[in-house]
Parts: sequence; C-alpha cells; structure tokens
Amino acid sequence: MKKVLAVFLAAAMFCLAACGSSGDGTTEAETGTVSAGTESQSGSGGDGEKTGVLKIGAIHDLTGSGSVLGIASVNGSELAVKDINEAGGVVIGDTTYTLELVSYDCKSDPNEGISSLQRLVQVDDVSIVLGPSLSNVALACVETTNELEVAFMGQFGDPRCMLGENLDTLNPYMFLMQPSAAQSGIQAISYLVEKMGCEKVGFLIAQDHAYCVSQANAAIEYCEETGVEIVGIEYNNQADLDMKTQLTNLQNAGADCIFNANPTQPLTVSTNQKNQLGFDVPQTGSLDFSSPFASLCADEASASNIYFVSNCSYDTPDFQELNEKCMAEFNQEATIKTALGYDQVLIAVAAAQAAGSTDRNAIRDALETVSGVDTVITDDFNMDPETHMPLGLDVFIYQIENGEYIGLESWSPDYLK
Amino acid sequence: MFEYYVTYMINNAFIIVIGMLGVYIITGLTGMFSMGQAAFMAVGGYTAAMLAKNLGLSIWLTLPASMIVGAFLGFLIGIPVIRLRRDYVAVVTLGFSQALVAILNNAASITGGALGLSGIPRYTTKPMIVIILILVTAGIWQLKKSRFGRECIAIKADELTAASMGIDVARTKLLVFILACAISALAGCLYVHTTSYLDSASFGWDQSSMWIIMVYFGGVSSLTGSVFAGIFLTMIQEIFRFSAEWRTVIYCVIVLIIVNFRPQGLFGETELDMKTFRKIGRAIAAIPAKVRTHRKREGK
Amino acid sequence: MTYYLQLLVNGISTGAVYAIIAVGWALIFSILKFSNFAHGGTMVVAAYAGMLCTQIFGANLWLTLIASALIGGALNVLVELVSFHRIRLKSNQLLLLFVSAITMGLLLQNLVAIRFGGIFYSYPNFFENMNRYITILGLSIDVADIIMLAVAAVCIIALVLILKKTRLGVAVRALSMDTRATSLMGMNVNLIVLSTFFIAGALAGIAGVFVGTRTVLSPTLGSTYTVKAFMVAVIGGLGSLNGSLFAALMLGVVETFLTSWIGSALQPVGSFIFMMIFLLLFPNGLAGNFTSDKA
Repeated sequence: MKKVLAVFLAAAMFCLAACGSSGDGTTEAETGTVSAGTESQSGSGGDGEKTGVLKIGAIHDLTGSGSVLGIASVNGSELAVKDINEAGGVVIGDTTYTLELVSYDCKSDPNEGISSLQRLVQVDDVSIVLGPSLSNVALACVETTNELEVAFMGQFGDPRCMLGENLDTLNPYMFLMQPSAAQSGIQAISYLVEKMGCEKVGFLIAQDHAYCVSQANAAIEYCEETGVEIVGIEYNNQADLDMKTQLTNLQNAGADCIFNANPTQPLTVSTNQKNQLGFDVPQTGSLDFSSPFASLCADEASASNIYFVSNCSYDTPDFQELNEKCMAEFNQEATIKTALGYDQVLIAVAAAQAAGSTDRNAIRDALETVSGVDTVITDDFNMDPETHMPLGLDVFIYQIENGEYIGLESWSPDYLK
Repeated sequence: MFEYYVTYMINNAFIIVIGMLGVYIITGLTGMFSMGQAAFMAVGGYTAAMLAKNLGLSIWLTLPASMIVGAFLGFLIGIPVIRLRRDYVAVVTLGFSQALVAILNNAASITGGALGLSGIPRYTTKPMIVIILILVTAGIWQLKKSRFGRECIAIKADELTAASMGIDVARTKLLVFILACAISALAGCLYVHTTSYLDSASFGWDQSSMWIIMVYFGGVSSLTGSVFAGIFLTMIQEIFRFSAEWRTVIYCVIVLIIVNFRPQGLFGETELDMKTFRKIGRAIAAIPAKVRTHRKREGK
Repeated sequence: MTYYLQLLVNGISTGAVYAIIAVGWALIFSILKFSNFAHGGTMVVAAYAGMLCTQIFGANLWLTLIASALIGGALNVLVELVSFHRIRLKSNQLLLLFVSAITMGLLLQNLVAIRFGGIFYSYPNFFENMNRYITILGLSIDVADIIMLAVAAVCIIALVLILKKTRLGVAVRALSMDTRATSLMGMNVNLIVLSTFFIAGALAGIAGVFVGTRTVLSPTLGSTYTVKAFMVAVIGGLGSLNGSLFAALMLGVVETFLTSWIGSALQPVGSFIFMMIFLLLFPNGLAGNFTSDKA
C-alpha cells in the first residue's frame, strides 16, 4: 500500500507541476495578447490613442559566479524601463507603448542561456533580447538567434559572437553595444607602451575566463606586431587566492609593466599581492578596475599606479544622475554595468522607434543602422552595420592613485585605425 | 507555451537524465559514489565536438567514438577507484573532474580553452534523443534484472558477503564504472550536438552533485524513480525561471523536504512497471466498492 | 633559496586557511561519519555576517572574529536541525546526510546571492595604522597571515584541549566510536551532536573572516573551499583532526610549489596526481584510523 501511495504522491507532484506550468501559461497567454507586435485600443480613454506593451527580454547571470555584474546590469535596465514609463512610455509608429522587462537568470551556463532565449521569444514573445557580459553564453546562442529571428544585443566582448569563428561572417542577429574585448585589450596595453614608455610587458591572465583571455590575446598580438618585448605570460584561475608565485616570476623576469586580465575578485587579490611583493610597476587592464575596485583593495598603497580604459566617464552629469537614481532605488552605487544595462534599453527603444514597429525582424534591421542615440556612456551611439559593433566609441584612460580615480584623457591608439 | 516546455524537456532534461543514469548505475547498483561524473560528460562532449568540427564526422561516428573515449577514461580512473572506499571514490572522481577542467582550459589550441568551441554541427533531433533515452533506460533495466545486476546489488548490500559468494567484486565494480562513464559520455555527445557550443565551465562538481541529488530524490533503488526525478527536478527549475534568483532556493527546499520526510526517495523501491500500473489500476477500481461499503455503513 | 623559502611561507599561509576549515569538517565526520558539504555554505554566510559587523558597528578584527565564530556556530546548529536531525534520528542513512548536506550548501549559497549578490563586498583594512607587510630575511610576510596562523593554532590547540580535557570532549570522542553505546551510557547524544556542530561552525566562521580579508567576498566562495576541505579531510584520514591539520598544510605547500613549477593552469592536474599517489601509498589517509562503515 505504501508503495502505491508513493507512486500516487509522485503522480500528484507531477500534476501539480503541470498545473503550475499551464496556469502560468494561461496568464502568459493573456498578457501575450496585449504584448509585442500587437496593440490594443485603450478602451477607457476613448480618445482613439492606441497603446501597447513593448516587451524587452534580458538574460543575465543572477546567481552564478558573475552575479554581481549581472544584477547591476538588470538594475540598470529596470531603471531605464521605469524612467521611460514614468515619462509616459515610448511612441512607436502611431502607438504609445509602455515597456516591460522580462529578465531571466542564466547562471553563466551556455545551455541555460539558450533555454532563456527560447523562452523569452516563444513564451514571453519579446521584441528584442538584451544580453549579458558573458561571451560563452552569447557564442552558444548564435544558432538559436538565427532560428528564432530575434536580435540579441549584449555586452559580450568576444568579437567571434558577432563575426563568427574566423571573424569573416556576420551573424545577422548578434549585436555588441560596448567596445569588444580585443579593442579594449589593445587600448589598454597601447597606452602603457606608447604614453608611459613601458618596454617589457608581463601578462597575468585568468585562463578560465573567456573575456579576459580574448582581451589578453589581442594585447599579446599587439605586442608581437609592434615589437614590444613580452617578458612573461603567467596564468591563474579565477578562484585562486595566492598569485604571489606568478607575480614573483614576472618580477624576476624584469617586467616594467603588468597587463592584468582578471575579473574583479582575482584582480583585487593580485593587486594586493603585487603591492605586498613591493613590485611597483604600472598595471593596466579592463573595466574590472573601475569603481568600486579601489575600495575593495586592502589599502591605498595597493590601489595605486593603475591605468585602465573605460568607455564611460564617471564625471558626466548623465552618470551622476544614474548613480543617484540607483542609490534611491536599490541602495547601491551605480557601476559601469548599471550604465551599460541602462543604455541597452535606450538603444533597443531607439531601434524600435527607428523600425516604427515592434516586429522582431524590423527591430533587427533598424538596430543595424541605429545612430545618434543619447545614452549614458556616450551622447552619440552609432552601430556599425558591417561588424554589428559600436562605431568610434570614445574611451577614457583612468588612473588609480592612492585609491582615487583620476580621469586622464580620451585615447584612441593608431594601431586600431 | 506547452510546445516550448516539451522542447525544453527533450533538449535539456532528457540529456541531463542520460548523464545522470551514469551516476544511477554507479550509486544505485554498486553503492560507489562519483562526484565527478559530469567530467565524463565533458569527455564525451569534447570528443564529439572535435571529431565533428575538425573531421566533419557524422553523429553515427561521433556517438560511438565519444562512448569509447569515455569508457577508456573510465577504465583508467576506475582501476584505482574500485579498490577505495566511499569517500575516497568521491574524492578521486572529484579530483579528476578538477584536473580535467584544468587540462581543457590549458590546451586552448585544441579545446578553445575558456573561449570554448563554437559552431559544432547540430545533429540531434527530438525523436533521436527520446529514442536514445528509452534505449539507455531499457538497457539499464535489463542489466538490473540480469545476473550481473543482481551481483552488483549484492555488492552494494555487503561487499564481503558478495565476495564470499564467489562474486569478483573488483571486476564487477570496474565494469559498472566503465559502463557508467560511457553513458555519461554519450550524454555529453548529445549535449554538444544539441547546443552547438561547448566550454569547460558547465561540467564542474556542482553538476555532478546535482545528479546525485536527482538519484536520491527519485529513490536510489528505483530506476524509473531516478529518471522521473531527473526530469521533474530539471523541469521545476525551468518552470520557475520567471522567479529568477529564487528558483534554486525553491529547488533546494523541495529536495530537502523529500530527503527529510521520505528518506527512501519519491518512489522508494517501486519501479514504474506493469506491476505497479496494475496495482494502481486495482486500487482505483477498488474505490467505487469502498465507497459503496462506506455508504452502506453510513446507511446503517 | 629565498625564493623557495618564500614559496614555503606562501604555502603555509594558504594551508592554514585550509586547516581551519578542514578541522571543522573532520570534527563532524568523526561523529557522524559523513562529509558535510554544507560547511562551505556556513563559512560564506559567516564571512558576510562578519563583513556586516565591520560595516555597521565598525568592529575591529578581534570582535569580527568572535562575532563570525558565534554566527557560524549558531548557523551550523540550525543547519543540523533543519537538514540532518530528522534523517539522523529516523533513517540514519549516511548517503542521505550527504545529499542533504549538498542541498543545504547550495541553499545557503543562493540565499547569500539573493541578499548580497548585487555588489562586491570586502573587509576593511584592519591594519590601517601599521605596516602590513614586513620583511624578514628577505621574505615578504603579510601580518594578516601571521595573525591567521596564530589564531588557527590557538583554535586548534583549544579544540584539542576541549576534546582531551572536558566532559564534552570525552563525550564527543565516545560518540565518534559508538553512537549506541554512548546513548546507553546516559549521555544526551543530540546535545553532543549540536555542540559539535556549533564548534565546527565557529571554526568555519573564523575561516570565513580570514578568507574574506584575503579576497573579495562572493557567494560562490564556499564552493572552492568545500572542494579543498574535502580533499584535505580525505588525505588526512577521514575524521582525524591531526591528520587533516597536516594534510591541510601539506596541500597548501604542494599547491604553491606546483604553481611555481608547472603553473597555476596545470596545478589541479598536479594536485590530482599527488593525491592519487598519496592514496595508493596510504589508502586510509595520513592518520590511517578510518573507521570502516557500511554505507
């Protein structure tokens, strides 16, 4: 009897789950009728103005190892949606749309990313999908975007996402809205070499982090082509807590600057330990050096002698305003990722407006040539239809000295031209 | 909506279940404990990916190839493992999975390292995955009922007694381990031909421990229970996807409740076979009679 | 020569963190005979709790250590009550305890991610007014590492004294030999188990603070250390405190030297081979007093 009971229990749980899903399904279907692509006459107003809901999907890592970046991005996107809706929505064609953000967690896992993308399109019927700063998830999604015919605009820095394996085929539905990893790698190292006069570069690379590896590879290529000496390439894993060994090797090899390609956590550890070893040479790297990095370092002496590239200036009124909103809404300081998440929504809306429709393919076509968008990071955002990457974004060189961020200058190396 | 869930179930849950069946036969049949089974899925995945990508082989070649490579590595790891006790088996398999991920990251020129391998041909179709899952499940079912399977269960119950009955404990364990690794590698092959992209991050010890949770959730002595649990737990996560970061919490709470209040697992030792169905049928058929007698009693 | 001495120092300071975690792990294994994979979860929660103490109350290192230890201990008692208590009393299947522990660890990690996942947190600099890095004989040594070594040593000596000298210690040791006999002697087994969990949790809390001062806090921090603690506990001989202590220091040193010789990239491979050879030579770990169990 007990066994039979157990099977019943199992069956009941399954039914419960099925009910849960189908119940969920009906509500989705109901909202679906007033969502993307379709518009409904607003009955109450009676002034003949059409309204609708523009659904925007977002995929970010909310619980995995990249959750800090993912949550900041989602927060940014939510702020943008809130701002636009409070301002009365957005007019596309002859219809006023309110925005709705549907964000899913992908745990930095490629397969989860594909499922999220399918669900966003097939179940939630979104018009465009905003993506994470995770190149592996984006690479896995390329085929799926072609099947679903939905534009996937993300922060994934690996150019292979947009241009295919050998950087020669354009993936029609993949878009990048920040400088690629390769660009930022070259911008970072070229500043040290060309402006600071460094001659012997040492690399410290998180080998299990896709963005860091592609960034470092571009920087290594730059050094090889311009004849800068590479004295050592050391690898570490993201979870490492002791990088003194690698740093000592670079120190002994006589490096006069360090290219530190690591995500925030190991970046902090290695920067502290570099200071501990008394290895006082300039350091460069990517956006992971941006605020709040300096406050995470053990002391001010560690957070010194660092030069990094940022595609966002933190002193602009736009960014300050975003920071205030973020503090008010989430009680967290805005980071570059918050700004990028905010901008993703603005660019998506601009594309929808240019398309004059909420149709997924129309938005994709418009996104290809979207231009002149006033965003937080730049006043003039232009997409390059040839590469699906932004055109000519200004980058700024920031210096960290005694825990303080100092904006130095905007920088565009000749190598990239 | 419904269509989406069916697609998800086949493309994700079924493949995970095939991988999990590797854990099932290791733990459910012989009582060993593998904490690195997902690494063998990675082995199968990378074998299939490299063969399909570099040599353009079809799935009918990559599938057996990945199983053979998986079985071979299973053999290499199995030799030391079978002589060890429970936690030692777990630590060796765990160490192996860590080492494998390090090798995959390091051999970036072949495996793509952290950047992964993209553009792998998508060979699988939904019917194919369903048929393979049924075949694998049926195969393990037969194995469990066979003489070999009964020997395994004897080893699980008591190794010493089994040995004294003339069962070659080491050989049986090794065979089971190899078979389990081949099955997990098979799942890896299907995975890579479904997603078309592969990197090393998805095969850590957390994935392996998820599989162990599934096996125990369904009932470690019940094959159909484990299969059901695998599908159920994967679908739970998908169904609650809208709740973003809370879904793993929901998942954990459900598992904790079952493990605490139904220690033999959801299905216990019951298999979902004809016998059980007949029993359920009889129980349902008996309901009207019971109601009648109940009414009669009330009438009196 | 200095280079290798420096490696040795680095290795020992890494090993000391492993040691505090692994000793707590071994303590629980010795009485319940299962690997508590929720240990890493407790450590992370305590690390975040300690960080909050510094932010809200401006606590110094010592107060933070005490607070984290208390919170870790209390949390571990809660973990026992929620995820192990019923299984222990009703079925006492070791593998179920194991499954429950993994799930609990995952749950704790995700709860932390929900509450604190949004931004990076780090401990303040506890050594503001002093020179944090000192140089002895050409070796660069972090004061934090010295304090950590000292605290680890004090904790472990205190633990050994508790186990050897107090009634509780005698009870714990009795329990690790035979649960039934212990309860027949009229001892309250539940109370002993809960006390053990409290002590182990307190050690996890202390470890959490030291890990936190070395790096930036993240919810997944526990996962790495869970794996390391498991390896250490197995190499040391499951359930043996002395064994895990030596194994932790050994693993720390071996890892550091391997990183220097073959690079951090291949270091897990080296560690794996080291572990295999070790287990072939000492199938029951360093201490070799593995109590045989039937799972």
